[in-house]
Amino acid sequence: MFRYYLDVTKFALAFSLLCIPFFGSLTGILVFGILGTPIGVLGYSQFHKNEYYTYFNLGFTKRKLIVSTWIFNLLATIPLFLIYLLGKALLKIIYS
Amino acid sequence: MNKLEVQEVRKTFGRKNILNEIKFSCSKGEIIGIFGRNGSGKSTLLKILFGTQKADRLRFEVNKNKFDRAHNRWGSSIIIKNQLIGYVPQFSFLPQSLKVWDVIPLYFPNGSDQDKIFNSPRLNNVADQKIGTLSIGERRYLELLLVGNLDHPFLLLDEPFSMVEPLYKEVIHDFLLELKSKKGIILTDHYYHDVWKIADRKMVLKDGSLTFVKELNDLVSMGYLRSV
Repeated sequence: MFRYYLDVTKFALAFSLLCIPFFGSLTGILVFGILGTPIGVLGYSQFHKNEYYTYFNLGFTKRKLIVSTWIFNLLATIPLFLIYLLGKALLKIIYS
Repeated sequence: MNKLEVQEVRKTFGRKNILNEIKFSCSKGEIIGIFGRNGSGKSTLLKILFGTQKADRLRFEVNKNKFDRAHNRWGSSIIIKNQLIGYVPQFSFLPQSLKVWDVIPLYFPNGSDQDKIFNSPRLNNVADQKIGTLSIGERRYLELLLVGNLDHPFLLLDEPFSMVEPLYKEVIHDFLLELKSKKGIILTDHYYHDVWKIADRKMVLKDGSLTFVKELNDLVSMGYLRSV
């Protein structure tokens, strides 16, 4: 299951990183948490579609895989957001 | 006693009636071989039973658990969730970038189960290789070992012998014959000699219906072979 998470999240992360130069870090983090998983699932379906059968045989349905990954990535935005705020505050202190 | 009983499967693609009168059962300790020409619906039937393809109508039981059309969507999840049926599709489904020794713990977190797989014949030679670099026979054998050793009471195999070299075919034969003491196995392959050799009961899927056959000559009369 963790393997699926990593495979989907690498696409989610790549998409979010691409968004940062155009829309900023905050949008990048939000995109990762909200849109990242569906984008990641699309990427996974494109490049690793057959590997779903590994998880099906292990008792994981597609729904369970996607929902768990989405929840995990949504939760991951909280520390990322805190890091963003902390970084912003630090920069403010350094440059003031 | 584990029993899979298929009472009705119907499936059409457009106007083509692929599966029509499908009725059979499979018990623990039994290997059922399904023959059929390309496009006859063998793979579709296996996918429907596993739950990754929808049927127009479906009624079957696995160990007295009933699945029907009304439960198609959720029922298929129950098959997967409860690991009632294992399925080895005809295409490669293991992560290509992983090495064999990294894939085994994905399937078997328990150390003693991992040892059992590692100690299987011929597996030691390829343990440090990436899945993507394995030969077809090595990959097929590994897939069968992994899925076959899970706890599903039933196993569906789609073309387990296709393109596999003779040495690996023998290993696969032995493995499946050993495995049938624990599960019911349904397999389909165009390598009909291999299927014939290990199957306890054989069927031909033609025009959407399954017919039991007893002699190799029946495959000729059913239009699957030209001659034996």
